[in-house]
This record gives sequence, C-alpha cells and structure tokens, in this order.
Amino acid sequence: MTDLTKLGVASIRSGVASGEFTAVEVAEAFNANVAAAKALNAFIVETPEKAVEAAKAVDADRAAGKPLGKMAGVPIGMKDLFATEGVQTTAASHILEGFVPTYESTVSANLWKAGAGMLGKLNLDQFAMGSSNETSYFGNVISPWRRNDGSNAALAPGGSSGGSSAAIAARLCPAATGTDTGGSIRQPAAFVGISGIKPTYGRCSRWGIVAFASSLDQAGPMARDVRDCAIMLEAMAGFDPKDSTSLDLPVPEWEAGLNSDLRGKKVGIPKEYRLDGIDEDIAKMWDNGIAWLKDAGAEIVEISLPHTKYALPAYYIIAPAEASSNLARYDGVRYGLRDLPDGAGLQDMYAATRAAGFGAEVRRRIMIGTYVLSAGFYDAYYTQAQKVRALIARDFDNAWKQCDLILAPTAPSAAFGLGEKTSDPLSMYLNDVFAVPASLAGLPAMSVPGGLDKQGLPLGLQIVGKALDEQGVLNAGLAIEERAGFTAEAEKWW
Amino acid sequence: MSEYRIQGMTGEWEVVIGLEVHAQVTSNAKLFSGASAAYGGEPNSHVSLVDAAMPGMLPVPNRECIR
Repeated sequence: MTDLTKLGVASIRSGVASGEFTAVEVAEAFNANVAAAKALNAFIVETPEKAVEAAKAVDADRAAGKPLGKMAGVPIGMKDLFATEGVQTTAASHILEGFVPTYESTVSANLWKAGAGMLGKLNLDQFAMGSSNETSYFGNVISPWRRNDGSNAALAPGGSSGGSSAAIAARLCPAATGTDTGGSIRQPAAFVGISGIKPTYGRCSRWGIVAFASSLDQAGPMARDVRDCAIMLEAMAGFDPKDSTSLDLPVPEWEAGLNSDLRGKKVGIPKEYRLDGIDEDIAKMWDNGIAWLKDAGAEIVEISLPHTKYALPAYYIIAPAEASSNLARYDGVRYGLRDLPDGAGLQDMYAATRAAGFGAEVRRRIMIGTYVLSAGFYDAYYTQAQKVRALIARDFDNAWKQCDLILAPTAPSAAFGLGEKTSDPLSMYLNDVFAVPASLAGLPAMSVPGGLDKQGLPLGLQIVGKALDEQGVLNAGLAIEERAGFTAEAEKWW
Repeated sequence: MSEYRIQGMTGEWEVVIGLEVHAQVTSNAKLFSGASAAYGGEPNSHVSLVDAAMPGMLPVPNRECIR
C-alpha cells in the first residue's frame, strides 16, 4: 500500500470518498508520524484520539451513503492560537498553560464540520509574536530542513506559524491552520517549501482565535500545494455574526475556479522591493517567477509602492499597540496562571502574574504598545503610524490601476539558524519586510515554493492580490507551482 | 452641514460640540454581549464569555441598541 502520509488534502479526500483507503487508516498513519517526530517539537499537545474519532465519523458517513464534506477524512494540525473545546489552548505562553476552553473557534468548528480531524495543537511563537518560533514557552520548533554543508545546524521553521510549517514539511500532517498578522503564514511556508495563503482581512472569522493585533490578524490554510490551500480555505472561510469585522459575503468556490492560464492578467513588480544588497539567490528566484508568469500568459509591468520603506516601522507601532490592549486581559484573575506572592495585593498579583507568565518578546511588545499609546506620545507614534498605513493602502490602490497582481519574494532570505537573530530584535523584524505591506492593507497574499538557494534551502515567492481576489492569487500561485517543479523535500533525520 | 464659527483673539474658531451620553440600555442583552441586562440576577449568572474577557472572544455591538 502507498504511504498515506505522502498524500495531500485533495488525494486523501478522493481516496477516502472512493474507498481506496479509509479515513481511519489515514488518521492512524499521520498519528504514527506525529508520535515519531518529537525531535521537531512541532506539537504542544497531541490528540491522536480526536483524529481517529473524526475519521470514524467520516467512514461511517461514507458507509451510510451520506454526502461527505470538503475536508472529509483529512487529519490536520491546529495552530495553538485557535481555541479548541476541551483541549488545552495556550498561544505557546506560560500565562495560558493549562487553560482549557469551553468553546470552539469558528474556523476550527468549520473545519470539523467539513470532515477534518485534529492531530494536535501546533507550536508557535508566543502569542504569535515572532518570526522563528523561538519565543514559544514550550521550546522552539526545529525545521526538518538542514543546510547542504553538512553542519546539521538547527534551522528556524519560520514564525509565527512554525509548528504548522514544520509539521507539514515533515509529513506529520497534510495541512494545518495558520494565522498571519505580519507574515506569520507566508514566511514559515517559504522557509520549509510549502504553500500558504492569508486571505483578505475578514474572510475568516477571528472569533475564538487568541488575539494579537485585531486589525491585522487573519487565519488561513497552509498545505503542500495550491489546490490543497484552496480546498481548506473554502472550509475555513465564511461570515460569522460573532466577529463584527467578518465579511458578509458568500464563500467563492476557489478550488473549482483554479485556472493557471494567466492570459489577459497584468502582474506588477514593485521596484521598491529590489532592496540594495538583496540576496543573490532571492533575486534569481524572483526573476524565475517573472519568467514563469510570463510563460503562463501574464504581462509583466513595473510598478511603484513608494511608501514601502515605512511599512515595517508603522507595523511595529500598530501591532504592539493593539497587542498591549488585547493582552491586558491576562491578569491572573479569571483563568490561566496566577502568581500571588505572600502578602501581596491586587496590583502586586497582576505584576507578578505578568512577569512570570509573559516571555521577553511579549513583554517587549506590550511595553512598546503601551508607550506609543500613552498620552504624550500617541500623536507622534500611533496617529502617525495610522496615517502611514492609509498611505500604504493607497499605494496598492494606485498599483491596481496598472496591474491585477503583484509578485515579490516572500522573505529576504532562506531559513536562518536558531539563535542567529535572537540577540537583535530588529534583524528578526526585518524578516517580515516583504510580508507586512499586504497585511497593513488587508490584502490576500500567498507564498508558494520558488526554488532552493545555494545551501539547498527552500525560498518562497509571494503573490499579492486585490481585496477579495483570492482566486487571482491562487491562480497565479498555481501557474508558478506548475512551472517551478518544486519537489525537494527535507531529508528525514528526526 | 451647519457651521457655527466665532471670532477669537487669534483667529476664527469653529465650534464643534460632542455629547457623551451615559444611559442604561433598555435592551434585553448587554450593549456588547449576549448576556442578560436584567437587574438583580444571581451572581455570575449574567456573564458571557466576552464579558469575562476569555481568550479569543470579541465584542459585537447589540443591534437593538444601535437601531
């Protein structure tokens, strides 16, 4: 029998539907891979029984001749930022260690309704703050990839959805949920050679997702290929009255709409993204991407996004500002960690709980956020950053007069080694330089594998589309996927 | 839009008046959650997940109050 863990979402779904194999067989195969991959530290909690239980329900439905959902029989990994009823939800923090929600996030509930099962809760950067997974309280995820120099240095799987990216690349799950605030789906997808899409802000409900920066947070799928992303996004998206920023629009049939013929489409190449000193391999991959889209029939035009250089500074004001507000709830009173020193009062308890419960990066962002929102500095930082955000959105509006899609690298480098950037937060933040503008503008953006660098590590190409044009983004992603011929895989060492 | 302008010592001022209204809602549910707004319930019986600021909860304005 074929190794079921080599299959993606579409193949599993059709194999289960046709009776080639059962959903339970699939769940058990992935459960075994998860159990054997502790060295990667991709999961915070494993839930093999949940995966089997969901699979049994799908097999029973099939036997009874009932219609099967979009994700029927597909076991997935759930980023531990999504609240899951009865299963610990921590956002990779100490302050939420042991917290078991009595409720289920809308996105995860949609996935279970579509027939998916849960293999476990995936590790991430603490409260989704980080680009390498090194801020997790539960230890960093290690990428299954290694450089080809024989050094065996442990590499970052990207972040914040690094458990998701590593688990898919190591075939511990065929697909996983991610969330993207400033690149947290796209950069990890790029680092491990898989696909991931952040849809338009509002496509996926934020209800039940532990909030980082509410005006930016958006959930999306990560999977082995573009089709699998389209299938899973259909299952995740949809209007939710419990999220007041949720878009009240029907969910398009993205999978059925997939078409890699790009004739008549114009693809913009933003000249401001050609940074001085851009990595040679990244520049070459970008040129390849341009050639592939041309080959698919697209016309290539140079465009300008003049405010690009202000995107990262604006992001690192807006996101921490919102985070400092969102994280004020973790005070030790109602749930999670409580640190009550002897003889301490209420204020002392708040301070002790937060000091013990939040990691260094989370504390840094809360302090930055509190500072930029304080009375004396609000106008100088927060108001100014909001203006910059409007200018960046306008840059894109102007670009859409000349093109339908934008092609750029996902990240400025391949995966870096664990520990290489931890001492300098700024160099870590710079990793999101290409990802953040689309986040600030709320636009759909996707990363697909674009090739390997000289060290044998995957690189990602990013496609950004107009608001609500996930279809255009997915189609361009498919056109690249068909031409890139990316079949490289991490050699198993774990 | 009507405008009310006065001449001051340093130039012209446009007068803009904002009102902050404190009122008890007459709706059945609270302004930002589905919990009951009725007075005199048992302790902790009118607390929803969003009132308790559980992780991942979002406030949604009460449609009735805006109407």
